[in-house]
Amino acid sequence: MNEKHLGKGSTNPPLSKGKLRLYSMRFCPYAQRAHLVLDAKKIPHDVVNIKLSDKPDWYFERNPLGKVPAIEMESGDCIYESLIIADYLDEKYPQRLLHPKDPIQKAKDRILVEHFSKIPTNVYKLFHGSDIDPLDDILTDLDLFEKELTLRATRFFGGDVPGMLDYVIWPWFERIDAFKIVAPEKFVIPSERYKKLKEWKETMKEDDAVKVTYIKPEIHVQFFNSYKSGNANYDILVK
Amino acid sequence: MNEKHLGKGSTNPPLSKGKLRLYSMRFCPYAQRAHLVLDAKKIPHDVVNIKLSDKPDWYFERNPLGKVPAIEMESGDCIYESLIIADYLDEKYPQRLLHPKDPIQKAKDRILVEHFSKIPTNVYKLFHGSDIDPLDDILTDLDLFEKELTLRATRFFGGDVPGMLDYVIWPWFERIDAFKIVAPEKFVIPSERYKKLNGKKQ
Repeated sequence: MNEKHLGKGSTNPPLSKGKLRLYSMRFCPYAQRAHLVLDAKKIPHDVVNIKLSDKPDWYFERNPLGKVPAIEMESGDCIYESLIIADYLDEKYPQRLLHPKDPIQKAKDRILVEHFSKIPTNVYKLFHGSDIDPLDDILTDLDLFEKELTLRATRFFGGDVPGMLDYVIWPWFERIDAFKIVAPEKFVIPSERYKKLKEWKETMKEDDAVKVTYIKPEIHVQFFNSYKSGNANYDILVK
Repeated sequence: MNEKHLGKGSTNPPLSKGKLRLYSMRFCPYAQRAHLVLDAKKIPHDVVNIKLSDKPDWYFERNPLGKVPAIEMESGDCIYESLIIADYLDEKYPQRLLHPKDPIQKAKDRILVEHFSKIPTNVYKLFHGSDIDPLDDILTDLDLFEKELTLRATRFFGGDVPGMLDYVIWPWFERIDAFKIVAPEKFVIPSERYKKLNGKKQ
C-alpha cells in the first residue's frame, strides 16, 4: 500500500496468485473507496501505486482513461470507476455484504451517494477559486447527510457497523481537517450544524477497514501542498 | 403514457392499487430508460407526465431535484435517477433479468454506460454551440460501442435479446434521425463507420 508510485518506463509487477490487483495512488480519495471495500470484506489483494503525473504506458491497458482506482483479476479482466468496482466486489464476494439487503434502501443509499458526488467538485472549486462561492452548496449537501444520520439514529449510515454508504463518503471526511489547515479562511464548517456527522467521523476513525488506509491531516496537507506547487510528492509515505 | 403533462396547480392522481407510479415526460430520454425497463420486464405501472417547464409543487415531494424519471411505490417510497431506478427494478423484479448474470460482465457493461454518459452532454453542445466542436468526441465514443458490438458478435449487446445496456443507451439512438433533421450540417455521422450499430438500430 505504501509502495513507490510507478511511472513511465517502469514495469508492472506480475500479479500475485490468489489475489486481486488494485491500482491506486496513496492519496487519491476515489482509490481509497476501493481499498475500504477490499479491507472491509477482507478480500485478498495486492496494491500497485501509479504515478499519476507520469503514467506508465502499460497502465492504459488496464484503464484506458488512465485513472485510479482500477482492479485487475487473474483472468486478466480489468474494471475501473470507483463505484462500479465497489458494487462488483460486493456482488462477487458475499462475505460481509456492504449494500443494504433491502433493494429500496439500497437505491436510497445510492441516491445519497449521487447527492454526495457534487461535494468533491465543490471542494475543488473552493480551493482553486471559482465565480460562485461553493461553500453554501457544500454545507447544504452536508445538511442532507446530517439529517439522514439523525433520522436513522444508528452509529453508522449502515447501522451498527459501517456499510457501503459510510465507506464511499469516508475519504472526503478523512480530509476535512486537512482542508481546514490548508485554507482555514475558505473552509468554514460550523460544527454545531453537524453534530451527528462529527460523532460519526470520530467513530469511523476507529473502524478496522478505515484504519488500514487512514492518513493523518498533517500528511494530507503535505501532499496537497506538493500537488498545488505542481510537483506532487506521491511517495511521502514510502519508507 | 400519452397523458397531458401536469403543471403547477394540478393534482397528483391517486396511486393505482398493485401498480408502481412512474413520473415521466413523454419526450425525455432519461425517463424513457425507466419505461423501457418497466415494459421489458412487464412490471405493472401507471404513468403521470410532468410539465417540466412549470413543475407542480407536489412533484418535489417525490423528487426534490424536480427531475424525471422518478418512481413511487404504494408504500410511499420514492426513487429517482434513471440508472438507480433501472437497477432497483432489475433487483426487485426477477422476471427477465436485464443485467448480465456474471458480475464481471455486469461491471463491464456499467463501464460502457459510464462512457456513453458523455454523449448526451456532447449532443447538447453540438446543438447549442460550444467552444470546441464535440462531434469528434461523439464519434469516438460511438466507435467504442461499434467495436464492442462487433466483438460480442450478437444481435444485441445483451445477447439474443436486448439487455440493460441496450435499453439504457437506446433513447439517444432513437433520436439520431431527428437530430439529423434538426441540424444536418452539424450532425454528420458517417454510416460506414457504424455498420453494426446501424443494423442493431433497425
